Amino acid sequence: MAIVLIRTIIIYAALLLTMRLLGKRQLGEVELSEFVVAALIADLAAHPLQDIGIPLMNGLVPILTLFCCEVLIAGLSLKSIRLRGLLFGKPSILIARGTIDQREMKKNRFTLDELMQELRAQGALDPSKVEYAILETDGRLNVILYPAESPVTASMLRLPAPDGGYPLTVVSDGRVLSDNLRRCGRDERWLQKELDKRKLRSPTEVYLMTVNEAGQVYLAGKERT
Amino acid sequence: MKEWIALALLLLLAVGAIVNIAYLDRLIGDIEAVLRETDELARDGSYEEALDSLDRAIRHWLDANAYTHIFIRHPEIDSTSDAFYELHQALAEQNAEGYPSALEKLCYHLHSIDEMEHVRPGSVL
Repeated sequence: MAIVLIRTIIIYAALLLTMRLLGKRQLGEVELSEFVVAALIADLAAHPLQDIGIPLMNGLVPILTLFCCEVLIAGLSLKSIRLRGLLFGKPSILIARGTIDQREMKKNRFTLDELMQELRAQGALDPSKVEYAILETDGRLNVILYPAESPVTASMLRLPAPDGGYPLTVVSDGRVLSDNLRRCGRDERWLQKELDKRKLRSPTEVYLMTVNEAGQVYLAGKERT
Repeated sequence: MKEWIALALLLLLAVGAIVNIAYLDRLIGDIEAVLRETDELARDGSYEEALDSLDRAIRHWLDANAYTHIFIRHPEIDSTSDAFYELHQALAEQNAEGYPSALEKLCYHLHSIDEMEHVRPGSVL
């Protein structure tokens, strides 16, 4: 048991270090320690299941140990900025004021093709129109265009933009979500009235129904197959 | 709060690991003590008494069945159990030349199980 415990901690630290050295590009939307835990747990859980000669304890102890390490690392990194930088790295600015930072590109082993692909994916065809492109610690590239290149907003045009508020789902695939219905100040009677207006007999005929804070209803009926 | 629970759980696992080592040490130590007695009796030619002594060691091993199956790899348990019965057979046949190697094999298996749990560079790495 002690061996399993120590081995798990060693493997966790080694994987964390390896992934940290590999850099952000290998991650893709999960933080480093989350990736390490996910990669390890999947394998650890599989072994005692595949080989009944291995005691379940040999699978459970490492999983519990990893869970503890992950919670501790996450908690400590919340408290210490230095540790957070050490474990997860810092965002890298690949484009600053329209200029590609080649040193940062090399440091992150980010090729020009990949950069262009990411820019295109975010609607920026010309790097000179990008004010900043930031490679985040979870591997995502965030692109900020120059204000002159950014899409026009209602506030720029001084147009009134009605805010309907957050829409809550009240019927999902025929099931009434009573908690959400109550949260938006409605009840089943109101729901039935809304259905009657649309010539629907019951919520089972509804695929999706949402209500926003302004009381606007979106309803999609179920397709008849 | 969550971090404290995780830390407590990690410490609990560490304590559990230490208790496990101590328990295994005692179990193997007790069995080895009985086996030493078995060896002395067999050397004196008292095979019947040596068999009784070995039966006690086997009972001790089998009584710990629940523990061993939870914490020790099952192939290790099987090879140790086999070694017990090989020694039993050698003593039952009063095989003065064969039983020392069977005893040595059994002691090796028991020692190996005990060693596996001890925290040493060789077992960790």
